[in-house]
Amino acid sequence: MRSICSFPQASVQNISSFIVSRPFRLSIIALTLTICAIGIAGLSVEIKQKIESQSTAAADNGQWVLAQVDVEVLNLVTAVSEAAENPAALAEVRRRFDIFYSRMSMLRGSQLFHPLSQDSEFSSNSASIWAFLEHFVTAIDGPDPALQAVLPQMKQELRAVRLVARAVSLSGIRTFAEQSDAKRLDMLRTLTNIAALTFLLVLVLLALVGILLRLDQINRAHARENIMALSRIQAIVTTSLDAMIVADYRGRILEFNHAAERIFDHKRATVLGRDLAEIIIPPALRAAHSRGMARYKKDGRTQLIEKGRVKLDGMRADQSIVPLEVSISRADSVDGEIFVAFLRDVSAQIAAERDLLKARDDALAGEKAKADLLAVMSHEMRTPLNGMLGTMELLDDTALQPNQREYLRVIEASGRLLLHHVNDVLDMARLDSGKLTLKPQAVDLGTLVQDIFENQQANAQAHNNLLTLTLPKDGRTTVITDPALLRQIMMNLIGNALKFTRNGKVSVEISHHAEDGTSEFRVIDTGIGIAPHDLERIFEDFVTLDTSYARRTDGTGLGLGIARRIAQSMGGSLQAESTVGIGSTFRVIVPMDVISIATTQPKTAKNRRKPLRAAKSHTGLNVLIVEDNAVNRLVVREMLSKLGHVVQEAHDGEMGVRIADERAFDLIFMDISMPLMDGIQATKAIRAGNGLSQTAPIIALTAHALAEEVAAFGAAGMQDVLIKPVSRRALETAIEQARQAPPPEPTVLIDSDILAHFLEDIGLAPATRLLDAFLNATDAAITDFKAADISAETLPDLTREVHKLCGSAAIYGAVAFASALRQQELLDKAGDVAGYAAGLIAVEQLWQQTRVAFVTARNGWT
Amino acid sequence: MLKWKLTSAVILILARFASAATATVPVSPTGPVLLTVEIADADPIQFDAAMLSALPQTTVETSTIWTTGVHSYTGVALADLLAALDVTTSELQAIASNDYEITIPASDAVEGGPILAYLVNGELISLRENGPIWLIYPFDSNPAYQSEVIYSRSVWQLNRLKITD
Repeated sequence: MRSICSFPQASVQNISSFIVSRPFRLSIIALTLTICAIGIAGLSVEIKQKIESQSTAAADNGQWVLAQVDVEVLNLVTAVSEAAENPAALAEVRRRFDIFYSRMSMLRGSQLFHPLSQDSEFSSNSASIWAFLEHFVTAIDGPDPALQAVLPQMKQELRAVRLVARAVSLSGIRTFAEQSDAKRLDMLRTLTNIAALTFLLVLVLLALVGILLRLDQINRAHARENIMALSRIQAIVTTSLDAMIVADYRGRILEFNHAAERIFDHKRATVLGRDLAEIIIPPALRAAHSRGMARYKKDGRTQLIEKGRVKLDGMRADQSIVPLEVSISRADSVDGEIFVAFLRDVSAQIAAERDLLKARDDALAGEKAKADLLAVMSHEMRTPLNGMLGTMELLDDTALQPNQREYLRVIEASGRLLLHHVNDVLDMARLDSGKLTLKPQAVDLGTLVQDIFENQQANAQAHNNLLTLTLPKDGRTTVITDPALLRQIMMNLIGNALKFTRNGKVSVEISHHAEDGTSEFRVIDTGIGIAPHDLERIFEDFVTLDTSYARRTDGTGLGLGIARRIAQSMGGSLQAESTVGIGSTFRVIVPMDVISIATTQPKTAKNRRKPLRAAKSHTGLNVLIVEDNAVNRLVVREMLSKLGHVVQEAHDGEMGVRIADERAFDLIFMDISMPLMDGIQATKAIRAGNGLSQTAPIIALTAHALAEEVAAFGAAGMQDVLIKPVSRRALETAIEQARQAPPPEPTVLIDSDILAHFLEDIGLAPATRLLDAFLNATDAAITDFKAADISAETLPDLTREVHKLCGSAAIYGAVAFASALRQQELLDKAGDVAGYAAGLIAVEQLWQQTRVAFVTARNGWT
Repeated sequence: MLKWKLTSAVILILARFASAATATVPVSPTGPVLLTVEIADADPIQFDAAMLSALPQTTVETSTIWTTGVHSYTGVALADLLAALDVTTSELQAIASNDYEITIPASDAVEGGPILAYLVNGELISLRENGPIWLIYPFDSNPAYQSEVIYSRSVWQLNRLKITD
């Protein structure tokens, strides 16, 4: 619409530019016309003058007079001849003489003959004629006899006078001819000028005609364009699907097209010229409308005009309200400013939007309900289920009737299945949502696989299959990954392997690849195998291979595809290799951090392999459980008791710290989330205090530990993490690892030998001063560490500071502190930013202890 | 019809002469005839100086191309003459002593138009001075008369007027 409308606008501009230049053109025309008029007037005057001078020229008359001189001489001669014989003719002689005389008088008196008087021949000839006339005039005026007497003499002299008169005539004619030649030439010049001016005039007129024709052509073209533009605009206005209303400055309707008639149910003819506000603006909005118009008229400010599409309410003929989308622009017309409004009935659109909004809200509510349900299942169903399953394990260890044990197995199997379903539903829900957000947390891989094995045990036994697990050689099984996703992958792979294996073995092997930070899970079966051409097809959705086993197995065929998709979304891969008749191997490689809390644990430099206390035998240990949840406490306690350990319980963090101080435990299980004092605070308190269990291994118990939380556990002084729900096997594994790893020794903060040598070497007073300086400098450095923003970029600077501190610390014998600092340097080299950050926290804590030790030592000197 | 009219005109003129000048002015020329007016089918009317001076007199001060300086010409205006004759005509023939002849349209006979001058500076005009009558147009007061055609009509030594229709 906009682009079409802009065309006539452009043509209007052309026209207006033409109008602007018209005065200029008109002045050119006027100037030309004036010049022509002046030229014409000048020519007219000149022509008139020439003609007048021509008409007043008396040359012809003069010639006539000259010719008459000749004629009158002849007449006189004739009269004289006649009178000689007939005296009656004397009167005729007198008359002819007088006429001749008058002619000669005229030659002498008339201005006509002034040019002739310059001619000497003419003058002398005239003089001789005058001599004749003067001689005889007395006789002429005298009586007849006297005249009669001189007639012969007169006749005699007239012969000469005739010749002279002829000469006078001829000389006059010659002079007049010369004069008229000159006049003709002058006339010719004038006429040439006239011709030239006329030619010029014609040229100017032709040019004018040309300009006028061109102007006419342009005007016609513009008129044609205007008509076309107008008809085009009219067509657009009439056929526009949008309502279009044009109003003038006062709000009177000038145009009201078909679409407007449809929307407002008014007839164009009845609304033209009427007030726009009364016709289409709802009464409630009229005041605002007139305010807006007044404001616009006052200072041109507007919220509507040329502000794009605006949503407004309009009013139909029946006073009902119609929602509109309105776009108003302004234009200038010959009658002043006009406003063009495009309006669109958006009631359907608004209804649709409302429906859509409702549908969305409904859907959101449904999603919310679903999410809520899943959350309930996750938290409220799994917790009691875990309690039930744990309790059943305990129940199984009590003395039961054979039939009771059978019932228990059934209950337990059902419980496991239920847990499996709950987990599956959770996993599927997350997969179905399409947005797989990884929730990495600390996971014990051994426990995870063992859980699956337990879950699949019945399945395996049904086909007489053996399940085996091979953990990584270094015994590190705690990793940071998304346990739910990994569990689903492993579950699918193990379940799949069991489906196609009879009387065989399904092994899971786990190994870590430190070089690329991945962990590899191999699920190896001794089943029927897969033909090479089917190897990739098995990962496609809904694929079940036509095998004798497959017919008997139920499944959607989604399992492997889902597993591979999950592996890929975790940044890893799933591959299969197989030999028909021998078996298949499914290899999952997923990047994950392997947790090694031990690396951040401060250790003494010297006595690392020589613990102060001998390691306990394989017999029972003294174990402290710090856990606020009674059920969990019961489960863990009973499991430990069954394993032959002596268990003491604490109900919260404070109680745990107190008991740990009072008694030396071999191992402490520490729940993380507890009211008042959580597990991390309690651990710090135990490590920082001087209690009997200060150096006991502490294993965290947590339901969901995120990667950064695990680092914090380590920094607080914990050795390991167990993920709840805790199985007996996981407990056993953890205890075994704690038993194998050298238990943390009581930290030797200051090597007293080194400090003693230092004192001896430089003397007490200087040593004290230097030590104080070292304490202050280290305090400042530690403050900097706390404030530091730890990232790969800041690591080198931090490490430079760490290196300096390390050197100083070694001089004063702060061996533990120096060792921890050295550890930081190693972490920097390894690029382990998270470990570095956790390590720095440990460094800070160690410094506080070391500082106290130094102050104590210094006080002892004096 | 025309004849009757002309005859009656002559009678009228003569009657006027008779009444205006009583017996002192003769109705027929007593002195030399200066002008003869010939009207078709009628007897020619001859004018001597006395008869001409009895008609309304007009004086024109003008120069001419044939003379030197401005002179005072006195005579009867052509219009007055035609009115006195009570002649309606479109043109008349002017004939001079030397037999010069020219046709003058009656439309020239207007007030301020040509006069039949028989006096120059109050003197009768001799034949030697282009008399006895000179048809003078007021050349100076009306430049339109300064044309070849008018010069040709400005007959000198005029002695005869001929009205043919």
